[in-house]
Amino acid sequence: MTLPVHRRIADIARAEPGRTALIGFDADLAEQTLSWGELAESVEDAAAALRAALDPDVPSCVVVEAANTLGAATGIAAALAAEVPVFPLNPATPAAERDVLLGLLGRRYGHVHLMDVGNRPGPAIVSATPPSTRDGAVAYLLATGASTGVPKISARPGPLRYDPARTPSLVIRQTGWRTGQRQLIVGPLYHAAPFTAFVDALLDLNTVVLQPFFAAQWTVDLVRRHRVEWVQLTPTHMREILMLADADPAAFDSLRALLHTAAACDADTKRGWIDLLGPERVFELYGATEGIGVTLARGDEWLARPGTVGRGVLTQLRVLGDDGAPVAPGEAGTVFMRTPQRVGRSDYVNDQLVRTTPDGFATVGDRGRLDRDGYLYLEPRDHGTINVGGEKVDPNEVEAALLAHPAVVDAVALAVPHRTLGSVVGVQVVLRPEVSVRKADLAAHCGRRLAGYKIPKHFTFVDRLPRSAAGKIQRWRLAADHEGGAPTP
Amino acid sequence: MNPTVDDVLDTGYRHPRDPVELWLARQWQEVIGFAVGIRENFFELGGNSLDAARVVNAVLEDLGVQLPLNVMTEHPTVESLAARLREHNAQLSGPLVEIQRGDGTAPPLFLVHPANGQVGPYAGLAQALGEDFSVFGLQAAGLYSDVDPVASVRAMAHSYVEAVRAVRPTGPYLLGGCSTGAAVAHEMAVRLTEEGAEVRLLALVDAGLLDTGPRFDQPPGDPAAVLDRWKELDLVPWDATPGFVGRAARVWQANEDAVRDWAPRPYSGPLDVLLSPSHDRPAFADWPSAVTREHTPRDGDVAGALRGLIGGTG
Repeated sequence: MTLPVHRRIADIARAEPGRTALIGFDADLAEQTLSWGELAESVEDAAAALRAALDPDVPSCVVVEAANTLGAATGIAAALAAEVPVFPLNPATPAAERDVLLGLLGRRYGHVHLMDVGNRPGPAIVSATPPSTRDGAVAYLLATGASTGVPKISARPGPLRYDPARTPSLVIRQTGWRTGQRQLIVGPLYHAAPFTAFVDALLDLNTVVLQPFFAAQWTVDLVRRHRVEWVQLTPTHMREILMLADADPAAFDSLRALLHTAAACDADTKRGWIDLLGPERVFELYGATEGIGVTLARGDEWLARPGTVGRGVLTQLRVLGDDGAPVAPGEAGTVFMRTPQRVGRSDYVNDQLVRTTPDGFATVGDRGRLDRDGYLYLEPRDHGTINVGGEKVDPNEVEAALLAHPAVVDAVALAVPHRTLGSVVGVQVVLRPEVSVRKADLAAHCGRRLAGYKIPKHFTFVDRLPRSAAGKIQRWRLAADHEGGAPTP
Repeated sequence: MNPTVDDVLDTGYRHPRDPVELWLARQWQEVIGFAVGIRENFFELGGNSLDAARVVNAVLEDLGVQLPLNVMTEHPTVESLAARLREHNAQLSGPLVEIQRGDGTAPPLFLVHPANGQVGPYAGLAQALGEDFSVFGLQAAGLYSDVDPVASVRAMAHSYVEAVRAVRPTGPYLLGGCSTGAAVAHEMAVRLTEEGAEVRLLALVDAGLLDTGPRFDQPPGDPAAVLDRWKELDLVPWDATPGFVGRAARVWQANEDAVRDWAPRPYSGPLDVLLSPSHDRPAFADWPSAVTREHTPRDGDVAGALRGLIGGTG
């Protein structure tokens, strides 16, 4: 038995209208609560308005500015209920990057509607190019920077259906998820992991607490106060919480599971959380936005094999060498995965596809190795991408932004180790002779072009940068001089 | 400098103007990683919510105020957040103001206030000097609390030496100042060397080389009119009161009286004087010292000249 989203929400609202669906915070951080009855009413209302605004003859999608608020969550739910493809947008995206993303959406959709704060669709932004005609409905679209940091959009085939056996997926069910649980969402709804956790929560009767932005002590307080049972955190969140003076295990009594994803988690942080919660409540999931397969490692598995991201769940793993042949256990290669759970084949809107072998193994380009028991270990990424607390930054994009500044002659961006984010962007800059410029001016200049996490935090002014005869930056020559040793991958 | 470049480079740095702004600007510098002006947007410079939480935490620890966690979203500039904390100026009205925390390779530079008693304008100098230098300001008593201003160079030097010794018990010491601050720094250097400490630098700067903030040319008649003028010139926060003008006038008068009643004693160390080519020769160029070295900073670059002096001796 499967149900469309609007039916599922209506069923829940009829059965348990007074049950709490969402807990959020307004601009003054006053707590607000929405019952399932109220949520269903708002969703129905917004979905009807959305359907009425669309031109049925033009493929259309809707963009929701996805702050972690009740309004944004309702807007997303309404789009899913109306079966209009929804793209959750980071509200702080600078204009230039927003244009790129809207342009990418415009390649597929003739009309792009922006949802306003009252969850009413704005007028259609008409695509300049005729949209490509592709088969298949899409449930939602997510920004992903899987390999290069240049914005890409990944589409989840739709329409979305509630299936008691598959919502959430069997993988997530293995991480202590229970129907009707109380879940805290800390990460932003415009990120893949929190977004999909929210969608599952919506269909699976969860009470969701939406934390509008991360602050370690607040996260702990919310878990304690709302008796949260399930939470997904990034390694950065985990590091910040461990650094609190009173990371009290009792605060987490209600928690059945902590799931973490995204950036690789350092061993100290991992051990800190295993100490705090016990190994049975700590889960690590590796799986790309593209949904080509996942691995899962519980804390006790990790303790037995430190560093592993686990074994495939409903996923076959293969590590292939450059020649396309499987490598021996313990040898590194490109990680391919195959899963029957893959719903259709998700693809990039902007014509870039996940690489897939003829027999259905797919990769996003991560490198790693398997041990004899099938546990996967990931290798550092090698293309210079800077991982800022799970956000991928393409050094070329940062360098291009700096070079647009009239005082800058040359620039290189590198990862610089950071206590809680893992790494941040550091740059070495060559200025025009006789010119001086404040670091804050360069940062502000980058801030007009780049999202916040891409703005360099460390500026070093140098006389020249090591470039090869062909003009390519020799990063290895920079790595040795960089403060704090080799940049982290 | 290339004029087309020059246009783009100036994004309107504005230095902090009171203790709360100075304190916040330094917190920002520590979490963001570089110095900022009071009107720059925290998030547009790359500050994130974790950084913001650190600022909120520092406010709690140092000022005892629990701000809402999202306060930085509403008040993303030093100027705007400082307006919420202005009543805490009194808590930060001790003589010693940490302007910039450097990397510790050079001893800290202590800069004594000019006649207006304020040290905000030294923040721009600290930044130009370079973020690896530690810089402290010494501000006059009576600007942000109801204590009486000190009308004696000796008494100021006495309490400032105590404040300096409290953060840096042994030398070497780097001292500087302009206007009244030149006299007080000279007196401090004499006192410190008498006490057996090493004063590695005594740099007296012609006030014409620095923007020194609000000033009086004569005792003010109408504080409200003075205040309007200062606001127009962007020298004080928008919520400054005529009462502040009154206090500032008393501090200025005390500084003027102090210097008039003071005569420099012989100083056994070298004295570096930074002169402005367009100004009359300041009196301090002829104050008694073992040796006086005169410098006229190229393009008015006081920071470059100080860096040379500190680097050359440190």
